[in-house]
Amino acid sequence: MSLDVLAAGILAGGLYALIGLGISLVFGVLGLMNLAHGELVIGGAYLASLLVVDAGWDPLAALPLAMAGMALIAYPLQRYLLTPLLRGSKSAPLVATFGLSLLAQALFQAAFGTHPKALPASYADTGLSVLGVRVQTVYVIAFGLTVVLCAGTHLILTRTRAGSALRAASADPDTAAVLGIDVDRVYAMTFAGAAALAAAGGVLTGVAQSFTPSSGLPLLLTGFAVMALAGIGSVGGVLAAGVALGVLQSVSVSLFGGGWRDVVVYLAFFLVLAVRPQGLFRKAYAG
Amino acid sequence: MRTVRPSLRLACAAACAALLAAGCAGNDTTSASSTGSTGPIVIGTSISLSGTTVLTSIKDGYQLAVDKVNAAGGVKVDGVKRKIKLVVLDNRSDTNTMVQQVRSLVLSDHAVALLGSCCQQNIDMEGQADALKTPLMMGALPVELLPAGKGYAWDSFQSLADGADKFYELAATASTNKKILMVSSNDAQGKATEQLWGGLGKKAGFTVASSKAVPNGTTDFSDVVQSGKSTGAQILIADMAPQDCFAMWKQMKALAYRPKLAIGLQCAQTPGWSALGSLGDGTLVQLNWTESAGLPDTQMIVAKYAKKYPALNDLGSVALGYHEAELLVDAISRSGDATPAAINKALATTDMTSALGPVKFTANKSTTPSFIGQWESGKIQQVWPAKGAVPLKSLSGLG
Repeated sequence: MSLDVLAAGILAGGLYALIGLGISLVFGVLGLMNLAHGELVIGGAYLASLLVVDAGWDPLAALPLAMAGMALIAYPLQRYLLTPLLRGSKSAPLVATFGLSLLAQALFQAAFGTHPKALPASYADTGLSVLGVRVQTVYVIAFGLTVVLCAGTHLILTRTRAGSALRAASADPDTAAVLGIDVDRVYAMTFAGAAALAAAGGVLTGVAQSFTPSSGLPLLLTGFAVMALAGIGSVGGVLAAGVALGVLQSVSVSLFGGGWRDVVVYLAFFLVLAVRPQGLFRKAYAG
Repeated sequence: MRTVRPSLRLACAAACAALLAAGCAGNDTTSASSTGSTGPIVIGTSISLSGTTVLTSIKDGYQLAVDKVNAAGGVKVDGVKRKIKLVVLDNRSDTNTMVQQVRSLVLSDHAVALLGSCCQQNIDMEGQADALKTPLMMGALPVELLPAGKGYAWDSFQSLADGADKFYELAATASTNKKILMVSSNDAQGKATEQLWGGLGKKAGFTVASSKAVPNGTTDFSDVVQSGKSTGAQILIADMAPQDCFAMWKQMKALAYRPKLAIGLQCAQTPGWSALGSLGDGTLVQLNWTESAGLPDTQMIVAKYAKKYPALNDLGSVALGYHEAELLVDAISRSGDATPAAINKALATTDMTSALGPVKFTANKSTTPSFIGQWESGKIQQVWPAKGAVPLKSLSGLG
């Protein structure tokens, strides 16, 4: 196995972590398994495509707008649809996010068609040589951006009043409400933040790979695997788990062939769940 | 021992009577739409028009053929000209829905024959056609992949072997070291393609330097790229889903693997390949139809649909749909009484030239010509066979 393969795995892991971070955030704070997270990722890519493909923007310039756009779409969804459902049965929000996933796919298809799309950029198909190791530029950018976004998320959660409110709402929503915290707003802000992170992942996925209306599901599964490996509530753990997943994939493909990629990854996934069900890393913001 | 209560027995009897009545009514209506009738002859299709696969262009081809024959007054059956009614149902890319819709088309709409969908759905539809004893005319399934059935499914499309041979004929004209890197999805179709293309490549004097099977949804191709570089393979044959090829093409260029020839089976066939921009330039693609090949009805298809479908491969799908429906209409007109059995018998004796070329069935299969095209600036042009082709260009996208 060459260093090129190992480096590719580490860098791909950055993108996995970015996709897993939003899922982990929503599950850690709201206790909601968001089955529409893959569509939030793809939604970000489609939003960016309006600026990149149609208006000629650079994807990195379109990225903040795509993040803001997805956050604006996600906020009312959580506030007026999912939060009321959270107060009822445990399964209702889960089913609702599944419905949202199907609805989003249908909307993407109606608006953008079914052909694959990609976000063109000069760094999409260029490479860098670092210490003799050749890597794809866009994955270096994705990894750097993921580190920045993970650090930003961690700082918001641990060093700001909003983060304190979020952790309080996550630990005990009833007590938090008594203390004057607008729990519904906190939930909606969390979901919007997760959607923004998902959109960032979508833009980078669109540059590095491609996307179609049905591309969300594999991304969702990747995100779940990252979350389970990381354990709920650890931002640093999500980054480490993403990298671990990327390396595991690359190494297993190199050693056993592509057909064994998913077998090895999900075997590791189940082993972690069996041996350390709380994940590989400690909680930081979940209650 | 459990007993059936009288009320339940009565309910069962009533239900059976209702079913019998419905069955009789159905038979009456069926006969009204076929023998001795002057009403329209119903043909139907359960086709994927939404979901993961959208075949609107094939459906448009069906409609084009039906509209053409109806504009001429219909088909002559038993000396009477009758119109054709095409019933189109969207199975939303779902096989279970397709099965229900096919049954509904035959049993409720009284379709005397069926038109296909695409790919695996066509294979699944064959069993339904056999069970319902209703002829099914399909394309969009390489003839080698049609399983032996009970004789009601008819496939007129490209042959995988012929397509591979055409590619190797073209590759032999290019300056390469004849070493192949083969990358295919690790499903049944990918494995079959790998075996077939690998075997035919050897016969044609090429060497498979490296062969990689990857699962659908692979995004990291660093191992594949490394293999291509280390073996020095100058010919890439990729048989994968479009999104996998997109990721691999980007990685190949970024990691400086530069084959001299590359063909994207499945993946480069999507009009979405143009979304790769200049990176996709020079990639080869298999085609079932081209504007320049001199096939019948080309001008009509282009005139009617070039605006709606600017991409050549979409227009090829219109031609495919037109071809399938044309063959079926021809069989109906020769069947004598437009019953499913007679149409099925007539299909076996088909001998005509349709929008995809000459058609004559052997064991329910008829191979249509294959072409090799090349992407350049978001468009495909035929580069092989030489008749109607432009010269092969370099693989500039990866260069």
